[in-house]
Amino acid sequence: MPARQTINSLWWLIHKDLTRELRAQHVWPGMVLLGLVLVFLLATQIDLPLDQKARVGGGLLWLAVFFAGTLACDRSFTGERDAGCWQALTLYPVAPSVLFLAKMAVNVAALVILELVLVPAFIVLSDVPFAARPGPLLLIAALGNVGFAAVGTLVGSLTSGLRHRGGLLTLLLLPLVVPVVFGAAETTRLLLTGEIDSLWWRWIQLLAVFAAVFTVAGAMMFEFVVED
Amino acid sequence: MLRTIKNTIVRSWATDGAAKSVSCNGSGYAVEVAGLVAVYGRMPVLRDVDLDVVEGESIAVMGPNGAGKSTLLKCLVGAVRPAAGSVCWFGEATTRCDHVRRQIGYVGQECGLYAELTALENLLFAGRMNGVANIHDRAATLLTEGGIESQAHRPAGQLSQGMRQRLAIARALMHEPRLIVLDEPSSNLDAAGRQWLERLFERWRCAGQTVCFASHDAAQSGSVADRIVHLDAGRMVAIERGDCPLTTLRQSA
Repeated sequence: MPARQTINSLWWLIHKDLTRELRAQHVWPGMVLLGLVLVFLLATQIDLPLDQKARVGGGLLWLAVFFAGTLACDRSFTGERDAGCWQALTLYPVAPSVLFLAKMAVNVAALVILELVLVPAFIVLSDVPFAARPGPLLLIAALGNVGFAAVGTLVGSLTSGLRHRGGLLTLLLLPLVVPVVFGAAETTRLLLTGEIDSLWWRWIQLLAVFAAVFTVAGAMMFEFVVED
Repeated sequence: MLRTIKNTIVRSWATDGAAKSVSCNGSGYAVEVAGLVAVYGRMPVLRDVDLDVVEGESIAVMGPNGAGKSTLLKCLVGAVRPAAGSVCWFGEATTRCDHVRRQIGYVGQECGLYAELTALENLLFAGRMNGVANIHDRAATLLTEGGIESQAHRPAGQLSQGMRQRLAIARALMHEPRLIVLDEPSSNLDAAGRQWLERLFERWRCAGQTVCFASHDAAQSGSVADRIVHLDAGRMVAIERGDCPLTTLRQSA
């Protein structure tokens, strides 16, 4: 397939999913609400001095983001299957890896929306200064989002075809993304305590490698998942 | 789930291996099916089916519920991989090639339309996925031919079952496929819709379009198909000629 056609297909797949979500709002409102509830519960329960809040705040924030984000990963394939569209989608002359990357991009978009709401909410509720150094925080969020979305998309595609899948995605996904949660939490802690040193970069490298490995592996393995 | 993954990988290897040893005649055949076996889990759904579909031919697949009609059609479009046997499309042993996929149009039992997108957007999306040029003109033509041009800007989820079926058929025709596969196309259509479908079949026959469809309607199958394939419990039990086979039609024309 020519590169231009591949890029076109990728764009229109993403466009289709975003249009569907914006019109029907199947997932995002529920996902954001769940995230807000988690942030409210976690942020208001930390009764610690500010410097200690900064040590634990990152972990709690990313836990809320990724836990709520599982809803987006779950729905990205079940939405297609429930509507009977999945088969038609797999019969188009589009490489399975393109389907995977499109679904993953939409999940990344969902996580970005989630973070745009949850980070300010966490700051307001806990006074943890997440926005003090926005550049490094954006880097952590970008790598964490890609790593989480790659694993979430792959696991979501595997579980969506199962009849008794209730809660299975969360059960499989959360243990798999432990390195992402650890990495994001640790880099955020180091960032908030002003320790951007070689250790911080090592965690960033871990996040980057995790994101790259699962994106490539997901794109390569997706052909086997596409088959019923 | 692990078993599903394992089966998928094993079947993939098996069919890849089979594909290398398959010899496809190619010329003149839209689809060549040889010794086709399909299984769901451990249950065989198709057993040793042989079927060659000549280009320009119209084939009806009939049989009782659970006979394997839908599975056979899914195998014909490459949506279900056979456990054994082979399927060739236009001389190719795989649908993984984009140029083969672009030659197949399929309408399943479920319309598979995006309820949130309008009728027009559903067609445009299909056209874009298939790399169709002038998609707006093509979509407008198909909406008009399907009698649903007035519904173009309504979400597909708000259309009636019949309208959705017409839209699904229009979507399958967006990229002007050489092989059209329809699974019980008249099931959701009213009387007017069935007449529209009959006219569509008639036009396809005159244009030499290859069509395979499943139906429970013996009269419809007899009137529009060159051959009728009867399935029972996954086996092909009979093939009969339609009331007006293609050869007769062409001779009379």
